[in-house]
Amino acid sequence: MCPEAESVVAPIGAGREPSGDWNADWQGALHELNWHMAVFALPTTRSDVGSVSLTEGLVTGDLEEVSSIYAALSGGYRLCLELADEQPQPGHDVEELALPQVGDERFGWKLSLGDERDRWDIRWILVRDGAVLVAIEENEVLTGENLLSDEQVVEIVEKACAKLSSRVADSRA
Amino acid sequence: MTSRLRSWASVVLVAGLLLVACGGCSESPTGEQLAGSLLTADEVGLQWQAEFSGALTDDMR
Repeated sequence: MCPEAESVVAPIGAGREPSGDWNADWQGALHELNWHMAVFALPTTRSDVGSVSLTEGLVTGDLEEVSSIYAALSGGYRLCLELADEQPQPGHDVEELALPQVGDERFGWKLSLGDERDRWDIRWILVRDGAVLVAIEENEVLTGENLLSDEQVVEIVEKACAKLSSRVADSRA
Repeated sequence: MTSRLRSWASVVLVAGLLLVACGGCSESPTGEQLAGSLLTADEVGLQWQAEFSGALTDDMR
């Protein structure tokens, strides 16, 4: 089964019980990893916006381990996309995000829960760059138009990957 | 005999150098390097405000 929304954001959030078969494969491994995180909030005066937050997570490990975690995660999300196509649920829209060629492998999706009057939109992107996983999550709780476009979120992903590559290259020079 | 030994020595030396080079390529970054690679609010742009930046500790999981 496709995971509930809370499990979708769990990889860089607090520990939660696995909610599906594929969760069990990766969730335990993720919580063993040493995540480095940056959390941001975007203040807004718009009355139709409840909250907007952005989280960046970086983790490294053995290349084989990181690659297998990436494969498990992206495979799980792809399964969710297929299920959403086959069995659409009211108030639960999910679609894949188009991403530029960042890192070695990349996957992104957009999940929208609720309706036009009361919505929770999550954009979640996972990139594997060598032995590093980059996870970017953007959350918007709102009742009106999105504050950020998909393109703006993708731009942040590009910045994160560029900075990672630059810092790692500098440290090895 | 000496020239054959020299040939083998060259092969071993090149193989050793390749191994060192490959090891360097697949090396994982350290935690310190990861911490320095996180975006700052200024780099993210717009008017994002940083609330936390650093390693996730056990009590935050």
